[in-house]
Amino acid sequence: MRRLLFFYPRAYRRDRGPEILETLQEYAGTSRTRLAVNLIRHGLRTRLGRPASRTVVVWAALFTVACGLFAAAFGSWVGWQTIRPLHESEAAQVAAELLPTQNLKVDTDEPPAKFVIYGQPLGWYSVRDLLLGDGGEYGQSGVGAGSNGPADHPERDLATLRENLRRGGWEFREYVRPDYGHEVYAGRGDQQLDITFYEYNYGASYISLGMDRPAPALATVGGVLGFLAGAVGGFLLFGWASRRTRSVFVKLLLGFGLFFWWAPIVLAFPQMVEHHLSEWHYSWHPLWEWLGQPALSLPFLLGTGLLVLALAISALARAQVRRADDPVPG
Amino acid sequence: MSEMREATFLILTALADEVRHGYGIVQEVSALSEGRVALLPGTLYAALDRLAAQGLVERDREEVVEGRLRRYYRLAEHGRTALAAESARLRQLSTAADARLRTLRPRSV
Repeated sequence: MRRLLFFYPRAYRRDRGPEILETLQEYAGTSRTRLAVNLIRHGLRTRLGRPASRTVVVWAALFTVACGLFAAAFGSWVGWQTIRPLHESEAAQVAAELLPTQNLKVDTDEPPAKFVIYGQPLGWYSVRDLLLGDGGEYGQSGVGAGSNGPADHPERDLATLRENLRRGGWEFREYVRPDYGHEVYAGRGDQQLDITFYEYNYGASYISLGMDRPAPALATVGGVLGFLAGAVGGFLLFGWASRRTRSVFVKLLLGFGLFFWWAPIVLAFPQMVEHHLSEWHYSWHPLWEWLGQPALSLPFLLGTGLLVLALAISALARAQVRRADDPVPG
Repeated sequence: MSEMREATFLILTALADEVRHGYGIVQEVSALSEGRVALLPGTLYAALDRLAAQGLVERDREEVVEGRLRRYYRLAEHGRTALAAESARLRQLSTAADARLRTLRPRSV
């Protein structure tokens, strides 16, 4: 129980700690969990400078977790930059390994960057696309190959593909797509494939092979480190602002800012869960997609602007108090 | 003064007749409310801090009992006034409610 006092600020612990511990000794019949929750809640309220507030811990938690998640997304994005660059030759090599008789031809350009939007690396010219509804187009660049003409024996090609995938040590799953044909997802090491057998009404079948990279280990490392740094930083920042001002305007800015931060997450997260549960993935989608980014980057940016404004007003509020406290010259 | 919360009213009442330490207040509040209000330590000390800041309670003395610090609290003069005012307000409301209930009571045949 002594450890739970660490949720209180140090000065408070020094003054009240022994007394609270003495009182705690008397609560013999009370559930330890109930006592712990009570001490954590009040300790955090005190630390956030609002011991009487019933909601400050909830606001702090929303801000802290959001900061953690967005920092984790950034950290994982940095980790994603460590993937090996893709080359057309790699797609040609894999196509030859898996479908040797089909003579698939590389049909994509050499990727200009690891992540692209509409085939181009991010740049100032991407701002419009990113902010105004096309942010979902941002993603990892891939290379691919396809058949030049209809396959003569698609069933036989599919059997060959399965056999070669097994022989080559690939993990894979197959899905029948009633709309267009048959799809195979496969992964091995740092290669992941999406191979589609398109079937057309007149019986012709075309094969397409797309390749990109699964999440590298450093994306997880970056995500975890990012979350920890973001959450700690977010909590400290919230506490700092919370202790500086009681302004209703700042509270409104905080409320709207957090709404714009959380709305994309609330919208995107269930969809991503459903998507991941509905079909096998050799590697999970990047973390930022789970947070609705950059598909919904405009609300995120708007929320960031409001929260930065709230922090700026909090900083100025303290400065004003200090100025008022200054001794009158002369 | 704004309406007093029940826990505040009970804490002030617990301190009205004698000085008490933290757990003494908890026990007295439980007795006064017939077990309905059970103050946990975090809630108790947050309330005592608030009441002290409002000038309603004061620290009285400290004792070390079996190596443990025990701090006693007493009702401040301002707290006595506030408690009396709240008690009068509740009494007036209670009297009014009783009077209304008497008029509505069905007559026996």
